Amino acid sequence: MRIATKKLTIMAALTAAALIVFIIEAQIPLPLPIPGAKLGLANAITLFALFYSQSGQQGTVSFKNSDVLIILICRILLGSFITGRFALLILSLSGGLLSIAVQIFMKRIVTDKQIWVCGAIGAVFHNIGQIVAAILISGTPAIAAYLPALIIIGIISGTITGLIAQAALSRMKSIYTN
Amino acid sequence: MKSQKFWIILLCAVIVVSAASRFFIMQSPGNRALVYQDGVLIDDLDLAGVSEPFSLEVHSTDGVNILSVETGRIRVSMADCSDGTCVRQGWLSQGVVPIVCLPHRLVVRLDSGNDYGLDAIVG
Repeated sequence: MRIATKKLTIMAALTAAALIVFIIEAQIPLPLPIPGAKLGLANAITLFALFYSQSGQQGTVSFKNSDVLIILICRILLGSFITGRFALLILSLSGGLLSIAVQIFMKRIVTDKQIWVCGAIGAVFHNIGQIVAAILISGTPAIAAYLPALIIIGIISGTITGLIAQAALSRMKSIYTN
Repeated sequence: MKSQKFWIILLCAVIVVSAASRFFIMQSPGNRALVYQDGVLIDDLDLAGVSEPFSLEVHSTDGVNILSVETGRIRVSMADCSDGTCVRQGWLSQGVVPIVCLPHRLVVRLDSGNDYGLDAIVG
């Protein structure tokens, strides 16, 4: 029970952190003429949770895939309520869910030093999910013309957010092992 | 487990392929501007036949976009959407890359009048 409470607390803290990053980022749009292009810093928190596993005196705390999914969905829903951009909610959800599915799969084939790869590929699929949803909602296949640019942006931004998660996790590890 | 090198090469290859595919979708599809909202065609403008520049307001349930039309080109000059990406996309005079305002579900794209263009490629 003690562990469950600790886990719940960390999940709540991570959701809050992701939400803050998400809201701040929504206020500063990237000066790029590409719809849907953004840094996606909140994904660093998702990656952090996905690869988080900590052994302490009270046992090991690690998150199941379903726990990470809960953090993600809470962040997207609350983020949409707070920023008031309901028109973009369905885009965030389809991008986020496709991205988390790919990242859960990627987790099995990358090492601790390759979390950035997981971030990059996750971001690419986030953008693909978003564009597919936008095409379906608007009924305008021409939006697909933005895919190449969004794939490149996804790789760059995903690598950055992935490296942030990777650096944070390796710092945590050195704190707990010393 | 794959090496770091494998992933770097893979991601660089994807970047190169994506950048290259840009050139394939740059052909000019024509000089008619089609304005869509929620997937419905709401305006069809012959850009070549525009002699006097004019503006056009497009209202949606979430806000308004103002389109500026000149001879051979069109752009979103003002929008009250949350990100302003559509305004930054600038003038549209050639190519198949459309102007998109995601918050207002507005799309402006060029077309020649026949089926040749991205629709034919994407299906």
